[in-house]
Amino acid sequence: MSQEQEQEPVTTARQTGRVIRIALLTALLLNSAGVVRAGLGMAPGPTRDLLLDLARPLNSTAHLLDLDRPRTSLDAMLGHPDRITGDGTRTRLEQDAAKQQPAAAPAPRLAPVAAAVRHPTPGDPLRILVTGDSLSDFDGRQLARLVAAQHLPAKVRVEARNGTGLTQPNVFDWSDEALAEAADYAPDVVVMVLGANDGWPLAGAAAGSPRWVAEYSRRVAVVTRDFLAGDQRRRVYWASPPVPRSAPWIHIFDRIDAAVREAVPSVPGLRFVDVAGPTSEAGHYTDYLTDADGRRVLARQHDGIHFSWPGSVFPARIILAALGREYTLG
Amino acid sequence: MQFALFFAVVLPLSWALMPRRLLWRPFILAASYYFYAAADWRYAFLLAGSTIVNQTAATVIAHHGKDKLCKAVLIAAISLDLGALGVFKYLDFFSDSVSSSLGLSLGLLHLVLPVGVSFYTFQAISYVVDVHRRRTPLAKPLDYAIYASFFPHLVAGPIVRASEFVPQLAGPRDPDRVPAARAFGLIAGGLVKKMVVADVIGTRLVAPVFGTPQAHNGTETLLAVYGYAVQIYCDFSAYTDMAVGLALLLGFRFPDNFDRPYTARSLQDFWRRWHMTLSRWLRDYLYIPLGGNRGGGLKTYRNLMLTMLLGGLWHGAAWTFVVWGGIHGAGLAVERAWPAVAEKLPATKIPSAVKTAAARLLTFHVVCLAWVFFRAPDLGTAFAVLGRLSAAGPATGVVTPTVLLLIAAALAVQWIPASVGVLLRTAFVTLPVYAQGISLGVLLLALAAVSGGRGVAPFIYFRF
Repeated sequence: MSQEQEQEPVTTARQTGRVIRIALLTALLLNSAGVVRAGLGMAPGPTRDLLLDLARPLNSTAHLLDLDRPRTSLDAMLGHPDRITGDGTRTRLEQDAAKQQPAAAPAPRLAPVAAAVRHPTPGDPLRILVTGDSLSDFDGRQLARLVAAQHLPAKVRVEARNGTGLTQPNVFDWSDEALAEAADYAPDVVVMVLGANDGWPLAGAAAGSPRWVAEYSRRVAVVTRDFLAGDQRRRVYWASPPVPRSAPWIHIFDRIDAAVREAVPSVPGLRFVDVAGPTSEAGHYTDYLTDADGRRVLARQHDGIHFSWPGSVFPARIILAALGREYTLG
Repeated sequence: MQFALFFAVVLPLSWALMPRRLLWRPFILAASYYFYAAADWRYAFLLAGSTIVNQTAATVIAHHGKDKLCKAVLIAAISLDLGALGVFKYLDFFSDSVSSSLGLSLGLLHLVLPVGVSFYTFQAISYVVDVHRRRTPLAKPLDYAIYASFFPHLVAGPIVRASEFVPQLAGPRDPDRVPAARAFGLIAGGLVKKMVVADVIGTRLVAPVFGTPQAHNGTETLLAVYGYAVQIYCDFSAYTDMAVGLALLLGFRFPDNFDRPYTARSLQDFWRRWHMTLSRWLRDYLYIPLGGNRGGGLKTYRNLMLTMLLGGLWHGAAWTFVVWGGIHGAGLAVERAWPAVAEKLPATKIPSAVKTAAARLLTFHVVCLAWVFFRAPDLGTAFAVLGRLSAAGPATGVVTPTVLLLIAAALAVQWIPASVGVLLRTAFVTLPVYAQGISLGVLLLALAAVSGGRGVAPFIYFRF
C-alpha cells in the first residue's frame, strides 16, 4: 500500500453510510426521470420492479416540486434533446402515427413517390448517415471505408446508439432521435440498422406476433418520416438485421424483416435493404461467408447476432450496392 | 443502476456483520457470487470450479513439501487454469485461423468470454505458485473462495495477491477509521475519467479516425492517436480506481494499479506505472521463471520479448496484440542495451533536464505507437492509421475544442503531485456530512447529463 494511503484522513463507517445515502437521495431526486428510464431499460425481474416502485412516485413528486429543473437545464446547456420521459407520458413514438408528422412536412406520406434524389459530385458529396443500434456501428464504419477506398463522392457519418430499439421508447425514443439527427446532419441518405434489442412486447402484443409486427411497422414508418423531415429528396435505407444463430432471435428478426417490408409502401422515400438473405446460407445462420476473392471469412461475433469486424464488410457492400442503384456514385 | 442498488445494500450489511466473522465472510462470498451470477449465472459455476481446483491443489502442495507430487499438482493446476482460459479465449480464434489457412469451415464453440476470467485465473495461478514457493500460507477454503470472487476486483482487477488480501479477512476493521475521503475521491474521479473524458474522446475522435483512417488528415490522425492514449488510460484506470474505492468503503485495501503513466522516463518506468499489478504478475510468474536477467544480455532480451509477447497475447489472440507486445518487448530490450552503447559514444553537454524531457517525450510516443496496434481492429487498419500521420487534406470536424481540451487536461493532470489530491480530499471530509452527500449527488446528476441518457460505453478491459 502506498504512503499516500497511510496519510489519508479517516471517518467513521456510520458517517460514510450517511454521506452515501444523502448522495444517492440527492441524485435520485434531481434525476428521478432518468432513474425511471433506467429502470424501464432493465430486464424484467424483482430488481426492476423494486426500482420502478420507488422511482415512479418519487418522479411524480420531484416533477411537482420542480426538482427536475437542474437536469433539464443541464441537458439544454449541453445541447441534448429532451428525452427524459417518465412512463406516465407516452413518447412520440407511442403516440398515434398521424400526429407524428413534423409540422413543416407537406404531407409526404400522401405523395405516391418521393422527389428525385440529389446526385452527388466530388465538390458536393452525398451525405450518408448510418445509424441504429450496435449493429450499425461496424456496418457503418465498413461502409465509410468502402466509400473512401473507392474514392466515391460521399461522406459517411456513423452514429450508433447501442442498446436501443423501437420497442422501448421510454428508454430511447428513436422518433426524437431521428428528428435530432436529421436536423443536426441534414443527410441525403439515412441508413438505419436496428433490431438487436427489440425482443420486447409492443403495446401488449407478444414479440413477433401479428399485432407486434403491425405496431413495429407503424413505428418504422413514424421514424422514417421523422428522418425525412419533409425533405422529399432524402431517402431512408432500412437494413434488415442478419439471420441470428438461435431462438428466439431467429423468429424476432424474421418478423422485424417483415415489418420493415410492410412499411415500405406507406412511406415514399423508405427503402428496404435485404442484408439477412445474402449473408445467410439459404436463409440459415452461418459463421463463415466467402468474399470476392474466394476466402472464407469468420463473419459473425460470438453472440451469433452481430457481424464481426471483417464480416461487416458484407452488409456494407450490400448497402453500397443498394445506394448505387439509386444514386450516381461511380 | 443495478450495481448502485446492490452496493447500497451490501455496504451497510457488511459493516453490520463484520464483527461476527462466521456470518460476515459467508455474506461477502454470497454477495460476490450474486454479483457475478447477475451477468450470467452459468459462469458462476466456472468460478466455483476454478476455486475448488486451485484450493485443492494448494492444499496438496502445502501438505506435501516440495516433492515430485507437489510439482506435478502445481503443473496440473496451472495447466487447468490456462486450459480453461485457452478454451474460452483462444479456441475459436485458433479454429478460425486453421479454417482460414486451410480453406475449411471448422465448427466454432461460440463460447462467450466469461467476465473477469483472465483476472481471476491470474490470481489463481499466483496463489498456487506462491503456496508452492512458500511465500504465502495455505488459505482457509472460505477465505480463498472470497479472495477469488471478491466483487470489486473480480471483473477487471487490480490483480491482488492472496498474501495481500487473505490477511484482511482475519479480523474486523475499525469502523471509526474508514478512509472515506480517498474512497470517494477514487470513485468520483473514476466516474469523471470514464464518462467525461474516455467516452467523449472515444466516440467523438478515436472511433471515427480508427474506423475510417483514409478519411482523415495527419493532424486529426495524430490527435486521435494521442486521444486513444488518453482514452484507454482514463477508461482502465477509472475502473480500477473505482474498484479500489469500493473496496476501501468495505474496509479492504488493494494495491495501486496506475501512477501517472504518461510521465514515465522510459518503458521500464512506464510498466512500473501502468497496470502495475499485471506488470508485477508478469515479472514474478513469467519473466523471472523464464530466467529474468540471469544468463547474460541476449537471454535477458529474449525473456523480455517473450514476456511482453505473451502479455500481448493475454489481451486476445490477434496479431495486433502481438505487435503491441513486440514493440514494448523490443523497446525494453533496447533500453537494457542502451547504457553500454551510450558509454562508447562521445560525451555531450546536454543538460539533464533536456535529456529527461526528451526521454519522457520519446517514451510517450513509443507507447502511443504501440497503442495504435492495440486499438486497431486489424494490422491493415493500424498501418493505415500510421500512414495517414503525414497526410494532407481537409479537416472533417472530429477535432473539436472540447476534445482538445479533454486530451490536454487529462495529460496535464498527470503532472499534478499526488499530495494535491490528498489536500483536496482532506478538505472534502471536513465539510458537513450533508454538504459532502449533496455535492456527490450533484456530481452524479452532472455525469448523467453529460452521458445524455445514452448510457456508458463498456469498459475497454471488460473484454480481456
